[in-house]
Amino acid sequence: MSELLQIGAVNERPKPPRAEDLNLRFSDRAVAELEALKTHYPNWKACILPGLWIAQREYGGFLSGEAIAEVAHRLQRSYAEVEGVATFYSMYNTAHVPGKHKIEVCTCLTCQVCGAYPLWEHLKAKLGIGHGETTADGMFTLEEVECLNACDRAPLIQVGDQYIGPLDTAGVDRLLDELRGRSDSTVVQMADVVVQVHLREPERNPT
Amino acid sequence: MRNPHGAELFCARTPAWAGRIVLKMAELKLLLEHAHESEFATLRGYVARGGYEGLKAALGMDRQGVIDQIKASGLRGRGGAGFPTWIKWNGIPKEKNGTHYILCNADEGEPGTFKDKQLMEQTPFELIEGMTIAAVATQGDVGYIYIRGEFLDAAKAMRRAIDEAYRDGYLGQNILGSGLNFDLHLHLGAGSYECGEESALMSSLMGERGMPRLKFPHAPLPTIAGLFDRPTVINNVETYCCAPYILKNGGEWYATLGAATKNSRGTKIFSVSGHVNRPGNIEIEFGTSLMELLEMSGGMQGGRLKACVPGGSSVPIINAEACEKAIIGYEEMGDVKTMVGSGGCMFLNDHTCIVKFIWRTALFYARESCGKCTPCREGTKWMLQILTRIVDGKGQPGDDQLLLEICKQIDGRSFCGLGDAAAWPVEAAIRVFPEEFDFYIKNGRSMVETPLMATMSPR
Amino acid sequence: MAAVIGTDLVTITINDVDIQVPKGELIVESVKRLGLEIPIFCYHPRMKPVGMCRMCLVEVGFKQPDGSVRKMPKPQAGCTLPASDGMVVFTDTEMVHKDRKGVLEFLLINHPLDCPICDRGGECPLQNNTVFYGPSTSRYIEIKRHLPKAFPLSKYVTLDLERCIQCGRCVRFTEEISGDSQLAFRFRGAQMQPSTFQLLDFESKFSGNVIEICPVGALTSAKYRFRARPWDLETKPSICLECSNGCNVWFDHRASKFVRINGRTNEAVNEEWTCDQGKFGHDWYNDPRRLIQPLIRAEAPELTESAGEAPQAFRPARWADAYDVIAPRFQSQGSRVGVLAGSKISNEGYFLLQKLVREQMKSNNLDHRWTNHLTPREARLEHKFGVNPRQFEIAEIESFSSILVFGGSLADDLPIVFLRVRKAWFQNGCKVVVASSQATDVDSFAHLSLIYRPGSEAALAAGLLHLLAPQTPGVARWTPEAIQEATGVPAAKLREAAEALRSPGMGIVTSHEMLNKPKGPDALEVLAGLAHQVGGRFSVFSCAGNDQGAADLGVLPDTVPGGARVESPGLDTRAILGAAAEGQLDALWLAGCNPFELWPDRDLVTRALENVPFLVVQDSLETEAMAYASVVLPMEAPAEQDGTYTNCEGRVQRLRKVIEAPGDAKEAWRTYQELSLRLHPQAPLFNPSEVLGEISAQVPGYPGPNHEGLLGEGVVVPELGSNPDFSGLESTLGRL
Repeated sequence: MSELLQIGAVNERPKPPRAEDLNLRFSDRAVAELEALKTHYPNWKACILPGLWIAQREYGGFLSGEAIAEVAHRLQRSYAEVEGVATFYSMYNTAHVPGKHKIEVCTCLTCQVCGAYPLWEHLKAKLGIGHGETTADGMFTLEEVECLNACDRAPLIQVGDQYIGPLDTAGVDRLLDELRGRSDSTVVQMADVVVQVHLREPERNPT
Repeated sequence: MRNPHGAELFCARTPAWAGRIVLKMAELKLLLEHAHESEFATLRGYVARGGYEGLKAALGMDRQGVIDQIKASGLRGRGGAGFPTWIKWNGIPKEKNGTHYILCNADEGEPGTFKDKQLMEQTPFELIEGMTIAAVATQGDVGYIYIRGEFLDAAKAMRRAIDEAYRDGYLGQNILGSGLNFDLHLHLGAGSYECGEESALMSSLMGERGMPRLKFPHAPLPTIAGLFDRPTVINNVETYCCAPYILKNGGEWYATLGAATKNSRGTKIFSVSGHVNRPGNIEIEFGTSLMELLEMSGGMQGGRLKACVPGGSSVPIINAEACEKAIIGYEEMGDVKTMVGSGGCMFLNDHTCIVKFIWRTALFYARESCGKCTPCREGTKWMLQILTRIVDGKGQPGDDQLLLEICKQIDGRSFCGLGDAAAWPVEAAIRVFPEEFDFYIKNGRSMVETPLMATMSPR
Repeated sequence: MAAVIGTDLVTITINDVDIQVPKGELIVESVKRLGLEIPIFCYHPRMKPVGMCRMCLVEVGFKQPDGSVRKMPKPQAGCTLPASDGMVVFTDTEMVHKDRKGVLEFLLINHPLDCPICDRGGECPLQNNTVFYGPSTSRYIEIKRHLPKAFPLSKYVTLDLERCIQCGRCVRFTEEISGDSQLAFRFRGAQMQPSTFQLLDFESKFSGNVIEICPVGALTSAKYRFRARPWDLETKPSICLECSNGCNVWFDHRASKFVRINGRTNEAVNEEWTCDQGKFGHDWYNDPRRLIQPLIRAEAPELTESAGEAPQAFRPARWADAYDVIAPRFQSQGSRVGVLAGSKISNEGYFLLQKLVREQMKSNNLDHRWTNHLTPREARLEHKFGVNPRQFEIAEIESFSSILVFGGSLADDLPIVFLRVRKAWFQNGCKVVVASSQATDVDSFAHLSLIYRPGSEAALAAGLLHLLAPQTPGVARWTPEAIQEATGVPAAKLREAAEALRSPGMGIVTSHEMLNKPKGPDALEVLAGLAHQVGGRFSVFSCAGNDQGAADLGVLPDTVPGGARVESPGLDTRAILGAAAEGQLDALWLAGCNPFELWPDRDLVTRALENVPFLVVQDSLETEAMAYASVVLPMEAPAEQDGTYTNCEGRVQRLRKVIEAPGDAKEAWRTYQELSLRLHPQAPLFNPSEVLGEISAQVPGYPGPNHEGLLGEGVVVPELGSNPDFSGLESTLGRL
């Protein structure tokens, strides 16, 4: 924080973007989905969460400031409010650009007593990154997450919309290999699945 | 990757219930009777196995009649608090002057619990029917199922089922020609344990940060002003799933289940995990003993029973001695100073280090505290800092007493139950296993010297 | 509010004392009735209770039929608990004290011990509560959190995240009161922090309030930063004159130097809020360009160049010398002199100014208005239609069931009126329709926004009249379709707006900003007629400082104090400037005004000041106009003198002298009095109270100096027009 104030210093911050300066990036499909969602609730504010999921997909898995501003703009809410919502929930990627695949390792209670930490250490060593970090090639982001509630399959990992477990280190290695071979991003794919399950049959295939 | 039961390709061992039915002598399968038949997750298969009889019965009664059946059944909320369901339903204004909401809490986040996940994946129509019955009883117009964002298999299954129900007239306008209109939407969370708290869930559904809202007596009950400030029924997935069977067979019949207990009726699904041979969901009648439950799960694995967290991470931990005495029932569990909770039952063997286990519990609550109220926000963080210090071998004499004091400062002072839930396990662990804390603080290492203990925290 | 406060009373017991309170009153308020206090952080009486900080925990029980008390097992938050019959509250038990200690210990876990360098130190609720209720030591031995300190959130507000206790007052203020939602909590749990979007500029027009309501030093004023400690400051009540709302403020000063402004409670005006224009707009009190002595233009160059210094345009003078130079130029000059006034002079000053001009200068060339339309007396609403142009007070806005905000940008023109309109919507669900030629802040909560083409304001007003009072003669042709043609506002939208407004409790809020619009005066006439026809109420508020006082006290070419007509009206602002430019004036007096800033036609102003042979500039600050001045008179600022001021709703409020004026600066009223005595010996008025006495004798409704209302919320001057007759409206509608 090099902007420490001195007495009498001019301290003006950059302004938030004006509505007309926003570079809106939602695809036609995304706009149609958001319109369909608006009919599910009595007000637009309730669309903030699903709207952010759409944005997470449209912006390649990362909810940047622009993505948040676009959601806020489309739902006529304040930027700060939507940012506050987005940063509250752990599944929105607001901190930094995630890798193509986010490996979420549950280490909570049952997984803990069933050997999650050895898996976690193995992954950290193998990928050379820690919690919340992304590999240099942008392939993997590693996250330690709280209970995924499939404790009968502990220790458990979530990648995209899949729960995988029980796992051992050999399984983890096979998983990494398969993920490296995938062309699509499971982060984006997961956001898409979330959006799709919100929508009713006729809304999913707008014609 | 695409296997619905989760990528067996990578799995070290097969999940206990994957693809086969395990019959257990003392299990009493009601909700889960047909769970393993994939047909049951289709509308036709569901109806063929007696599905929608309950709704039809409900449509044949007046609204109060439906509530009376629920009342007679003695059904209590399966989400953790055990609040009588009929009171919630009965609290909805009888004179309707706007939308009434039927809300399902499917934000299953309590560590150790995975029953709602299985119910939604394998018996989605039970939930839809249950919610529709609630709509009949309370003049509900719109329903939302709030599913946690991670549960995509469950969400997909629910989506398939809802679409099917719409297609065949079981949802939407004029359901089954009865004149009932009921729309059902799915709403997914985005990663927050706190949203399992009913008022935080409503906040989240309304597009806010998932923080709890003011409650009675500080604000009107959700039955008067809940979701979108309208009358709202909110129940757990399992609770709704019970409704079809109560309506089909009658509340009196349901009340015969678990009649041996003081005030717990029906069946309860326990999610058994931890050091047991066959982890999985087990539906039992109230009044079953905890040891029987362990027996049904194939008994202990890798060691002798040391402790059990019988109802999800929030409930107080008990030792093996108490397990022997524990009878499953809302009041009965109180006799051994613990609770039924949400039914997430973790059995721990004697290789487990309780200090590390509680450290991980504290980490969970510190990460999931929403930050709204001071005791929970700061208290969970402080407890975690102390426990981390202890686990790192840097405990100070008196740390255990300090932890107990902090627990007292949180318990009952926080805005919602999360604060209480964060304090109970710590308080109980120090009360039940004081020698382990003493040893760890004094010697800077765990009293339990096993390979498992060593893997219970990151290096 | 958590519960609706009714009129029925319930009996509750607080610490064994029975007391009757309104049912549903929050316990945190009820205890105040007994002189007790429940410590709080997150609770603020003007915002919805949230129960976040848990500082206000009390023990609560209920009286049982057998007379015993059954206590609730858990302590309850007093800030969210509504009173109900038989409730028993304990604020002084061991458990309560322990809980308070516990909460404070938790809060202090993260709070840095930087009170010695914190601007809030000495007036900090966290400090105070810790001293009274907190633990003496901390058991916390871990490392405290470290977060950005002194982060510049805007040019006014500095954010210190380490000090924040997450009470949410600032966030709730921007959501509930100012409505811009510029602040929100980000992250969760112990990481939770209030912030603007991406920590970008905090753009609120009311951002200063969050500094005052912050219970710690997390939000501090960038302008007050490290300037003083609260205990070194003297605090006196004052009135803000940066706009016409007349906000009550605390004027903090140190050694007679202005330091800062804080909001002061006046339920009738600003509640306790301030706008940023006012809160941060008082720095000019300390401006090095303050005028401190009379200056006379040096006529002979050798006078100043003799010393070998740079040529000096002015030489400092004594007041007596200045009067000597001025007096002959103005005395009995009639139409050859003119006087223009600004908006920050007290009522006493205005009164004596017009008296000086009319009695000693024998002139009516006098005006205080700087709007494009300078409506003559006979065309003003109160005279043309006999209708009161100010039919409600600011506080009454809350009681409206629908509000039409017409023209201009309310949050900029009348910030405090804006807050009331928003409160009417937020708390009472009032439907607000806004009509303006541009997007405004009202849009964010308005039921409908009607954006009309500039210049078509009168047509839009006629369109609303057509829909709401179709029986009005002459309005028939203004159908919604015709309005759509004329204004660009879709016919359907206009119909919807009319339906939203159609209610007996309708209010129309507009301002003198309309007088800058091409068809503004016509629009005002139509709107006044509309309110009259539908039984609603209408107010056109003045926008600048004490403009209302100037108008009431006859600083006008055609009206004397009290509103009576002048026999032969003088020149208005435009005509005075025009006459000066044409060389038709011998002398011009600028009383606390800078025409270069106030009058849009800069060229006319330049020609006027260049061509007038003798120019008096009387002001507090150096201005551009000084370059043309013959004599410069230093004027005292409002807080430097006693005086009364009339705000936009017609409320006369007294401002007692707070600080000494710099140098020889003199109160405006005294300047006029002294000059008047020079021109015509008479019994002088010795102080502002005597002047006010004279005003109250001449102007109906103005309070005398001993009126007790001046000690409290001020005195609203009662309505003028009481016998409305809108028969003239037809011709207005005809010529639109």
